[in-house]
Amino acid sequence: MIGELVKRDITLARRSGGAWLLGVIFFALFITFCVIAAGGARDVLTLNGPSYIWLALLFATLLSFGEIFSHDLSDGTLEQLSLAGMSSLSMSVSKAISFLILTLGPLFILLPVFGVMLGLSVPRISGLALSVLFAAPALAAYGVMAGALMARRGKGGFLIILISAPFLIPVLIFGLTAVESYIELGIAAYEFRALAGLSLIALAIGLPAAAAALTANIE
Amino acid sequence: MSLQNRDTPPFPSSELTLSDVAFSRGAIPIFAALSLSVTSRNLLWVGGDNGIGKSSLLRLMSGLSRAESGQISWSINGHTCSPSELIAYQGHQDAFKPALTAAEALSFWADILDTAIDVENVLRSVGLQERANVPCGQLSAGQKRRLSLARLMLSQKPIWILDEPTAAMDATGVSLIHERIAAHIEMGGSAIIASHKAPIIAAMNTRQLILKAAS
Repeated sequence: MIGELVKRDITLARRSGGAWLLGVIFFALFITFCVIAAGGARDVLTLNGPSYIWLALLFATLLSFGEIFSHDLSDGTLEQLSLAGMSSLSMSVSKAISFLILTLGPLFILLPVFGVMLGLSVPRISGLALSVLFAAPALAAYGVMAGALMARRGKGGFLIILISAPFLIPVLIFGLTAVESYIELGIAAYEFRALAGLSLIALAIGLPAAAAALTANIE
Repeated sequence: MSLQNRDTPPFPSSELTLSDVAFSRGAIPIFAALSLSVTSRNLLWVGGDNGIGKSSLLRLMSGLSRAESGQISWSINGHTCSPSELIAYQGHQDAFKPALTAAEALSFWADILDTAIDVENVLRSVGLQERANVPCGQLSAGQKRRLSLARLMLSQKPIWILDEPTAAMDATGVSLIHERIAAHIEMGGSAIIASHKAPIIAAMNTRQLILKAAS
């Protein structure tokens, strides 16, 4: 069931006329604005590059949280899924996978490109990519949670940001410090273990919370 | 038209029981002390004015919402089961994505419902074979209803719960729906229908539950 729902989400994204790429466009625009804001100064860009990319990534993913469940709830898909015997937890897991593939995946692919544009060295780009990889489950789990909580409100707007921000801040803190530590210590840096821990906590909290919120929303 | 008879065995004996169920919308009570049971080969018509609580009752019976008090139980062959093993529900929302074609939408639900029934046959039996490759967003309201009926047939669940199944349907559509419901009941299933007008289903004993505002 989970696989079928993910497959359907991919088909729908392909036919959305590019709407699913909103996150990618936002990501690119955000970094462009950062470059302009920094006055194009190479040293500033290189110094702050990882921060710009991490922020762009967080904001781009925040944009998509509100849409994760709202359509499927309002058109009755979720209640039909539940009557077909699919648990709310399976729905949440499936949406987390769709999020990883459709939202985070394209951003992850673009990340090295923008790293090069900002003049980051190869080790820093690798560190950045790895830190995002370690944080990806946390982003997905909290995204699904926020999406499930706000599903009834359609485009939850700033409420989504309010709900997700406290959960995403630790991810941002460790994600950023991981980039610098990676240059000296590689993958052995403790920040990567911290990120992995945050991701595990996120899966343990976010997915069941999302499932509970969905069940309440379907009723 | 003997599609289901050929592909599926008759349904096991099933029962949906409400005992002393009460339900309210916010502070406004909708109904209270409602007890009834629907068993195999039953047809129950739920009538009443707009906003009287027909849809709420149907959602309760489907297990989609919870009663305020009282018990709702579902059972197959005398064993209690979850509503998802027993109920196929057709509500106001059709759960068909505008971007998917009728055939794709139905195949998706066939996969989710894990049925072996051929989607093309079902589409033909609801008269949508010509529209199989049309996106759901371009289907008319009546055609979407037919597609919902097709999903009910795919589900192979013994109890069908239908909320206004004939709304926006032309005359052939209405008789098609009634025909499918009759066939379903003949196979040992049962159906609960909410509508303004009593469904006329030939050779069927229709029980009635009319909801009225308390005066």
